[in-house]
Amino acid sequence: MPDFCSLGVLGAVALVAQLVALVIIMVPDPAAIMNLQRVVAASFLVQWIALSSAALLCKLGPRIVGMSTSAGMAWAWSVPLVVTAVISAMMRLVDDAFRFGVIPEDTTTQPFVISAVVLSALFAAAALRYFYVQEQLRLNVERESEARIDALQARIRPHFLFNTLNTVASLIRIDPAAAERAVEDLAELFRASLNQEKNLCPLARELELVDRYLDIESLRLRERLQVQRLLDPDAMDWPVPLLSLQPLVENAIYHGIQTRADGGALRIETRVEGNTLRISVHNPKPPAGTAPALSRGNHIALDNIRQRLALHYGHRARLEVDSGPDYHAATLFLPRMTRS
Amino acid sequence: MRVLIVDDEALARSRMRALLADIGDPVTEVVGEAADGRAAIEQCEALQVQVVLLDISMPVMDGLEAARHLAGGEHPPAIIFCTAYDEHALAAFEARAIDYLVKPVRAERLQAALLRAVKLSDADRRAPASGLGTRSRSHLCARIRGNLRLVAVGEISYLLAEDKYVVVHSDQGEVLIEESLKTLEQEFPDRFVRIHRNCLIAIDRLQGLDRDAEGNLQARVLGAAQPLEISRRCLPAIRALVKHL
Repeated sequence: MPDFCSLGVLGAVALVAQLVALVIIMVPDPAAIMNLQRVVAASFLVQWIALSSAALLCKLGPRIVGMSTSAGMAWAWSVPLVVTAVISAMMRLVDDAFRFGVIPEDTTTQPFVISAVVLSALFAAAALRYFYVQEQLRLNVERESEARIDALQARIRPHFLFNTLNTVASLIRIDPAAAERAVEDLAELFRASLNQEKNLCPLARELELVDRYLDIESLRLRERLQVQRLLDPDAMDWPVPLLSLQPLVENAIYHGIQTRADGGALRIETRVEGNTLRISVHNPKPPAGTAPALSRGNHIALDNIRQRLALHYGHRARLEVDSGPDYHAATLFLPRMTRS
Repeated sequence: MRVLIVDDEALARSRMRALLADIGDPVTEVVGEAADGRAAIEQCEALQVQVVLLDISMPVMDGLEAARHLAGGEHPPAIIFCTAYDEHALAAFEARAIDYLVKPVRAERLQAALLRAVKLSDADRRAPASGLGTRSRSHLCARIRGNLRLVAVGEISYLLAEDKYVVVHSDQGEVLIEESLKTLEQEFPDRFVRIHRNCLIAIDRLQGLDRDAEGNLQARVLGAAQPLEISRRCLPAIRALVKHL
C-alpha cells in the first residue's frame, strides 16, 4: 500500500481521475469534449470520488497495512466503491434539486449509481494494482540499498583486529587495566561496525568512535602517533553516516603515520561552511624511496566510503583526496540532512 | 640460541620476549630488538644472530625485504615471520622463511618453529637471490669484504656504472654494488631515469639542464658535485620528463 497521505500519491490519484473523467465523457460521444459544462461536471464528480477515496485510504492506511495482502487489497478496493455509491447518489439528488441537467433526464437514480460503481470498481482495481506494483518496486530498491549499506559498513581491517588482539595479549601481563580498556574500546568499535544504526548519527558520536580507535592505535604506535584536533563546536550535532570518518583516520595511520619510523601528526579538522560540513584528515606521507605499500587496502576503503555517501546523499556529498610532496589529505563534504 | 626480535611495536616485542622466556626448550637468549628491517639487518651483522623473529609490516624497510637482504649474507640467520594477518604467506614462503606465524602467536607454535630452526644448516637458510619477485626494494645492499652497507633508495642521487660494478652516489657517500644498471632501471622505473649509457639519476633530484663549453647538454642533479652528461640518445626522454615536471 502506498501512502495516500503523501502529496505525490494524491497528485497521481488526481491525474488518473482526470483522465478517467475525460474517457467517460468521450467514449459515448466524442464531441462532448467541447461541451465545457459536461467536462466540468464529469471531472467534478470523478475528482470528488477519487480524492474522497484517497482521503479515506489515508486515514485507514495504518489499519490496512496491518492486514494480510489479500484482505488489505479487498478493503482498499471496497473504499472507492462505497464512496462512489454515496457520492453518485448525492450527485443525482443535487442535480435534480437544482435542475443543472448535467445528468441526462432519462437516466434514473438506480442505473446511474450502479454504472458509476461498476466503472469505479474497474478503474480503482487498475489504479490500486498500479500503486501496489510501484510500492513493491520502491521497497525492493530500499531493501537492496540497505543491504548494501550493511555490507559496506561491516569492514574494519582484519589487520587492525589482529594487531589489537596482539596488543591486548601483551598488555595482560604488563598492564591489565590498559588491556581492559583496550578490550572495551575494541568492543565499542565492532559494535558500531556491526550496528543496527544504519542511518545517520551526530558528528560527536562519530568523533567518539574515532577517539576509541585512536586510543587503541596509540597503544600500538606509542609516541609515533600524535593527533591534532581542530573541531568546530557548531558541527558537533551535524548528522553524518556512521563510520564515515573512522576509515579515513585508519587510512591515514596505515598509509602514513605507521610507514614512518618517527611517526607523525595526524590532523582532524571539522568546519561548517554554509550548508556543508567539511571534515578533513591530514597526514604525512611515507618517506621518499619507501617500497610500495604491501597492502592495497587504501582504494577499497575510499571506494567503500564513496558508495555509502552515494547511498545516503546521492550526488550531494563527496570525498576528495589531495596529495602534496610530503602530505596526504582526504576531505568529506556532507550536506545537512535530517536524521531519518 | 641467539634471537633477535624485530617489530615496530614495543608491545608486540615485549610479548615475544615474554613468550620466549616461557619456552624452556630450546633455550633462547634475546640478544637484541629492532624496530624496522634496516636496524634488524645491522643488528644481525653485529650480534651473530641465529634466529630472527621478523614482523612484516614495518617502516623504513619491511620484513620481506629485510629477509631478502639477510639471505645474501655469509651466515644467514633463520627467519621466522610473525605477522598480524596472513596475506603475505606466499611471499614469505618465497623468501625461504622457516616458518610463518600469525599474531597473537601461540607459545606452542613458536616453540615448534624454534625447534625447526635448531636443526637448520647455513645452506638451508640461504635463499636464492631472486627470492622476492618484482617488488622494488627500499634499500640497496653492498657487501664490502664481508661488511654490509645499506643505502636507502630515497637518499640516492645517481648511479654510475664502472666496469662490472655500479657506484651508488648517495647522501651517505659512495658505495660499490654488484648489480647492473639495467636491472636497477627496471626495478625502479618511477625513481630513476637513464641519462647516459653509464648513468641513472633520481628523477626527483633533477634540478635543470645546462650546456657545457662544447654545447653538450648536462643534467644538474641535487647531491652531485658536477653536472652529469646527457647522451644524445637519452635526450628526448629527458626533455619530455623536464617538460612534465
